[in-house]
Amino acid sequence: MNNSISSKQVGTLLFFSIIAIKAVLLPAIIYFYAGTNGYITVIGVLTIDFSLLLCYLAIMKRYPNKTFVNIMEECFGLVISKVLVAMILVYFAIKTILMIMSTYNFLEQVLYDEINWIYYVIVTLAFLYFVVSKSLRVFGRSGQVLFWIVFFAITLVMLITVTNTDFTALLPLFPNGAKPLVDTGFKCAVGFGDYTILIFFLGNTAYTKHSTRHIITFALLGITTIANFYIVFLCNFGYSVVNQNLAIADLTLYIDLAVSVSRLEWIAVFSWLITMVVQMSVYAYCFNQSLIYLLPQKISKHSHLILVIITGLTLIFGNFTLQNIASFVLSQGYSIFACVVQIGIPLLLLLCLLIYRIRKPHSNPPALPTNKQAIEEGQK
Amino acid sequence: MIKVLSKLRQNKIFYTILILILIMFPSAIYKTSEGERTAIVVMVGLDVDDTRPKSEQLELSIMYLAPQSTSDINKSYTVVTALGENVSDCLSSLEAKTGKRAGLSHCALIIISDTVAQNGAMQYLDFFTRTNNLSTNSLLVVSETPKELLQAQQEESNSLSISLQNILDYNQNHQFTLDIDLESFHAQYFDEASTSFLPIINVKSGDAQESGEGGGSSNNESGANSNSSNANSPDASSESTTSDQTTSSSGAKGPAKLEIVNSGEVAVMQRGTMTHKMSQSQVEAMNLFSDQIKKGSITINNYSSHSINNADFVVELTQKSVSYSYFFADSRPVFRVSLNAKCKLSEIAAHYYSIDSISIVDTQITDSFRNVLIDKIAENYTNLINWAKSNNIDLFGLTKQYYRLYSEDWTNYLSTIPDTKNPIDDMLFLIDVKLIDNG
Repeated sequence: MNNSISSKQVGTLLFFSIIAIKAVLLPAIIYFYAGTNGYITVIGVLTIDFSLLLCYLAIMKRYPNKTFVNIMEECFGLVISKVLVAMILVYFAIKTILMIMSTYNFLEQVLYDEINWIYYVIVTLAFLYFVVSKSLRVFGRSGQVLFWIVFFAITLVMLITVTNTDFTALLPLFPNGAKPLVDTGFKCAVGFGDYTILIFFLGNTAYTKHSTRHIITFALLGITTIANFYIVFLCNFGYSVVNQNLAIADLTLYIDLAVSVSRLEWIAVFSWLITMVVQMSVYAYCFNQSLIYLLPQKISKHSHLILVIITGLTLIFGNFTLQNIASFVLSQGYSIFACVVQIGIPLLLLLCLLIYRIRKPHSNPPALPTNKQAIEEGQK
Repeated sequence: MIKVLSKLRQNKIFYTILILILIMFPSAIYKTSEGERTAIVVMVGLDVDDTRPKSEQLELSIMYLAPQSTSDINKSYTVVTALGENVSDCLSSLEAKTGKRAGLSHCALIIISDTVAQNGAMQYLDFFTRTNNLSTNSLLVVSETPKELLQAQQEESNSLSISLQNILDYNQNHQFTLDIDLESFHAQYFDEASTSFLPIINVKSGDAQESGEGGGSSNNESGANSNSSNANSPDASSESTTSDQTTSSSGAKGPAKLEIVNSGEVAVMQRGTMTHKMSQSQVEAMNLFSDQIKKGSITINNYSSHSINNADFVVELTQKSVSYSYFFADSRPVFRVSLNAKCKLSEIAAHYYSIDSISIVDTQITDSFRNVLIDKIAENYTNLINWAKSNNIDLFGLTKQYYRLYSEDWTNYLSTIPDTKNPIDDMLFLIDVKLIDNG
């Protein structure tokens, strides 16, 4: 089966990645640590993230057929490659667990009075078992189909809430200097690094002449959407923003219009659930791909079963609550680890590009196919 | 069919769904429906009596929906009351009493009593700001007797009666209030101005009502009977009333019916505590300067024009637009209200009318009358500002706005004034009024 996906599909999955984790619990946490200038932190970190996206795109463009593992093995050898993938495995395992917990919290607080934790874990793991065994194309196509629903919903949410906003809430700028904002960006690193999923898209993307434009367009759309969301969110709630632990659902419930026009908030709630499930699946896919690489070949074909067992045991016996997992991912140790993965890996890829250039100084990059050629290739 | 089934055997999605059904089915099949286990609370009333023992000081009343087989939905509303030390305590008692879990997701209104407001409402509202059970943004109202207000609302069953909903809708568009929903109230508690203005709605015992009057059914009036009696009972520590509890004989004269009264007063809440009440006339004056309210009216008493003497002129302000300017002059904050409106003479109350006074030609708003109107508006503004200054009330949320817009200048200004707790005292207030005759 051809596992490569189009650049538009990569773009939609990136869009989900940019928005998914940032619009539920993270806004309240960021505004708690950074104060009312938290939106500046978000815009700043999103900008840094975007510049790291360019690193991924540079290597995707130059070597569209090389996977991350190929590149690392060629440049740094097998051992370093395994160590890096092990780090990535831990990174995505934590993100998968965090997403599962966040989705549970969202379901429990918005849709149901109570959900049995064990039932939820069993159902979620059954879903993940099914979904991680699928190829990347399935994720790409799902992302493409669901993109418009989610984009429409979040745009609608912001449009209906914009009438209630007090934009003076964005001021004053830097009342306590820039340090709290920088510290918050570091502390909340878990909520960023959205382009890390591209590690597993390297070599699996049908890269064409227009791919860079497509991916950048979707990434900018995601960045703009989420930056606007943070601004609108603050301008609606003011200082009580730190009390809104279900940001997107709280925002729609806060607006009289949304509540009076027959519960418009359900649009946001369900679309957000879709986003969270898609993102959970993508993280689990990345987790699974890391396992496949690290496990011996005989065992690696059962990687999705191993993933389900590891995740299940961690969730059931870890005795996690969203609060204690949140305090773990906000700890200094985890923040350093997340920064190493999120910033270190794209910089390593840039270094690899340099190494390739030094090794073969006169080689030209392969000519990128047009969209039509890429489609024909895929059909073959 | 067999082909389809054999295909299904190889389908992972089929197995996934099958597993999900097998897991979920036993856990869900024996459960009673959510509606039967939950009392859908639509309004909450909070009152405090400091004379009672601490464990019974807080009185929490809820009006909840208990669906019944009747075409009139109002008959399904029930008011229940419980005493406790805090809101959680009271809700537990109520749940034990009703046998249902209190579902707050449809709670549209929280009524706090004068005492609660004076004691500091946040300590009683904290439960509602934390709970995820309350998923809607409830409105806040101050009342002398929250429980009676709930009972009065419960009595409303025909479309002609004044309901709380109508009053609140009216207030939202025509009366100066600020931060009247729970989230805004909560947010303002922490901001620099920390002042919100909540409507005051009370209850009074109306005239005795005869059965059958006003389209009300006998059931409805009997509900009124039971409610008013409950409202007057001295030890109404814990009781419940429903609209169709008892019946009364047709034609009999029932006791006083509880009536909802919108006095037009507004409670000034500073840091969550009611410090003052704005009188109806103050609220009416403030309506002119609120950017939320698009209409207003102004009365000029004992005015004489060439066609009429010593009359009260009422002028309606339509298409009113108000904008605020915040700036500094000589290191002193200056706040200017710009009021633009079309004005229309709506009433002349006089003892004697000449023919000229009803002619369209002679009832235009002249320049001199416009000046009188502007002077009157300015006088109202000055009175309001003086009242606000003397009582340290931030009517326009100025401390918040100046902090946000001119953070540094504002901090400098605070360091120069003698009383930093009353920063509006040294501020300069200006008004700019433009009135256009609307014919």
